[in-house]
Amino acid sequence: MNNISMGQYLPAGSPVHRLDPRSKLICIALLVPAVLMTSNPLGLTLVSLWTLLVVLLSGIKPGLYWQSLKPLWVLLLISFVLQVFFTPGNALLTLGFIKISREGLLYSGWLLWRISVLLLAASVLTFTTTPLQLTMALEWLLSPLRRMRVPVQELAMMINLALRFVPTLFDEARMLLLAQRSRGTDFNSGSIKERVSRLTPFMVPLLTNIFSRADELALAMEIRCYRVGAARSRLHVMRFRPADYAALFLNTAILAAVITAKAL
Amino acid sequence: MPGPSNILIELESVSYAYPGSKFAALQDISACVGRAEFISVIGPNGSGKSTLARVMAGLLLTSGGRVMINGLDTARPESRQEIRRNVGLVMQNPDNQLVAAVVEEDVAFGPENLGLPSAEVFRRVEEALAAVGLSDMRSRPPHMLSGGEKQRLAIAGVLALKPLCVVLDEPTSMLDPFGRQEVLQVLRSLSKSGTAVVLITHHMDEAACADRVWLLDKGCLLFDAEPAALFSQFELLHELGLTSTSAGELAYRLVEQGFTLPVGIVTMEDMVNFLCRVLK
Amino acid sequence: MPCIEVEELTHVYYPGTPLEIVALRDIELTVYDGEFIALAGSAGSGKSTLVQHFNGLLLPTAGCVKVLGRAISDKQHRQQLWRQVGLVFQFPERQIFSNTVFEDIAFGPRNLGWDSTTVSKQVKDTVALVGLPEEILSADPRTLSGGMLRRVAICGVLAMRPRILIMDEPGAGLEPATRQLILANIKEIQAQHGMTVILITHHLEDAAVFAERVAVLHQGVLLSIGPTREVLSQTELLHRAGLKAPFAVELAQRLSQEGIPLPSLPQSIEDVAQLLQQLLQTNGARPGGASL
Repeated sequence: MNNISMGQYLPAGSPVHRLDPRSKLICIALLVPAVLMTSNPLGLTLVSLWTLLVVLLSGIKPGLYWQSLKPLWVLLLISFVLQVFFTPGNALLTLGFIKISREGLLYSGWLLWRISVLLLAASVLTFTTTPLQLTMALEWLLSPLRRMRVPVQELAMMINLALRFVPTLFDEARMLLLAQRSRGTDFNSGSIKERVSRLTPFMVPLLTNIFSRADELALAMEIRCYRVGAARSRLHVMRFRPADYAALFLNTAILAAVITAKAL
Repeated sequence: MPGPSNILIELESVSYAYPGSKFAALQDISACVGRAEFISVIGPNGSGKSTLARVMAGLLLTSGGRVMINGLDTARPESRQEIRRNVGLVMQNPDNQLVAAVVEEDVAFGPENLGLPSAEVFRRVEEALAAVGLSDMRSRPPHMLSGGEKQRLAIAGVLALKPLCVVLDEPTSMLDPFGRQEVLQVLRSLSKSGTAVVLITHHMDEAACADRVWLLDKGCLLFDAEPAALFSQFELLHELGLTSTSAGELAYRLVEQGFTLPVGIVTMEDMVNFLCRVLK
Repeated sequence: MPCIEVEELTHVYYPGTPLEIVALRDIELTVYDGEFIALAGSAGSGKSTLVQHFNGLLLPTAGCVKVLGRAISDKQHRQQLWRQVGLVFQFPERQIFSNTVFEDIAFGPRNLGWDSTTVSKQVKDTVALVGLPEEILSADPRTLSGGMLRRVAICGVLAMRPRILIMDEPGAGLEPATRQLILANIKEIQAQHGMTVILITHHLEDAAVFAERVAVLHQGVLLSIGPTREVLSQTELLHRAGLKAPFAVELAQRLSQEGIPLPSLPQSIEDVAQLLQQLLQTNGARPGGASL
């Protein structure tokens, strides 16, 4: 609990924080194909530099990016090593049955690079955008689906409530875990069967408490005149500003450049 | 007792039993709340206080009798939305009634549900936050607030609907003394500015701030009187597992020792005044 | 004899991030065997963080915490601390998971590895100790009232016969009589069995009646510690810590402002009643006579 995890919003008031969430979401949507489509090192270097620039502009210490992505780096490195070993091709180095091929090294190197850039970009988004802004942006982007009777507004409300209650339920779970541990439950040893049965004192009250919270929440929403399906207005109306147009333009330009380079 | 034209909520021999339960949670309660009146409700655990709160907010329909809110019968489905806007309910645990991940968004929830234009929503959020003294915290996430701040936020969320009455079900029981004071101050200024307040509480010193106190036991309304009258009923209160206010309890001890004290010593000031008169 | 020694304890949540919170700063505190000490402070003062060190749920960021003679940094000691240090969390009824009261109270004792006769004897004894009827053991917790449920949950920790009992606001949300009953019970057990009790509270009226010493925490700093009467008389300090001095203390101060000093500082309503009785009598206002 003493580490910043991926997906956590960190307030900082940087230019990236101030962008309209919709444009941030669209920029990511433009960046993903750009990263995946470039096949020359120069192109990917450019895209990477662009991402790093945004990281610097986000006003959040680079160390925190590193920290939040650490668990993922480990996974990536493992898959990198496996890729290197199991991609057939011209052997560069042979150690017994292990063969490292030029193709394997190149292929997995590219993959690692691309995924790193994408993860970094995703972190910029979640570090600088509140979950609420994200859902509002999503709701806006998905609003055409309303015509097809997709309950976009209700879905957004559900996501919002889930986001609002993550910290609360996390506290609740933590409190229960500590309380049962102080009564001698050991959640960390024994066979799988034993461990599962030890979860009862944790899971039963957790679920009971979640349901009673949900009950009260439903009541609280009803009190404040919430009705499923009724039209709602919003406090904040999202607005595109010059910086948003600039960001959108730059990202579109990068994608266009990548596509052009590919076509030539 | 408010005159007939000033009555906001009227309970007419209200009874309520939870579905599947033989016991009546409320029995034959008749009482009324005047406009801008401050009423507190006390009673032992399980005396029906929470049920009464839900009945008064029109969330539970009575099994007998009638509840009229600003002239509207809560039993009529077509007046439900109107009643919701007129009576707000705040519950014990603020964590379970905050719906948004940002303070101002939470206050906006009610007005947004009414479909009001953004500018009006904004205005109401401003007013409600100012009324509870949280204007500086508008962009914080609620889970970072203190208990008292959370509960004030919950009150703001209800105020944004511009209700005529706010019912609060033990809003201070999870708060520290400072948080309790904050909430109480908000409630006092609410009733001064014209909103009726019904406060359910276990803290007798809080209850004594009201214009009138209702005492509930086993679903019945035992007492409906001014604080000075109710908090001198020591035997009755003690029998129910309740106490008088701190000053009242002291007066009771002195009476037990054989001194004669005037009836109606409820607050610290009452006690100080009395002692000054006798000892100076 | 000290049973808990805290030296320069600092605890920091999320160190090195924008969310960094210093929950405790340089705490120095000793708790003695068999005493009843109250840990007072407003919400967010660090009370809960502090006591979670006492049964090894948290480790210090800096400084040292010794419980029952050994430092909690010793992993073996820390992992066994729950056997001797009982912790009753706030609203403990939220942790009840069994279908009968007996099963829930027996949970801790069984984890201690006691045989079933011992477990069942301890459970019965504990229930009797807090004055609940034995029939309650076969009841379904969901059918009990809030006050009963709270007492059952507390029994779940008491049944493990802890040497140190830590309780976080055991009376929160209950009617006055029940909260008094719970504390009076614990006080009795403390006196009879020599158990050390640490009561976390922001209700100083309770501390005034039950605690021998009071420690005041504010924003992670220990503002004051000492005998109850001494600490409760520091109204300024209590106010700074977001606490309210007991009614008796406030009344005494108001009276002295009015020129009616009391011969000594009262803690509880009983104290004031006694002091006032003397005062009223010496002023010629005999029982039955003083009135207006």
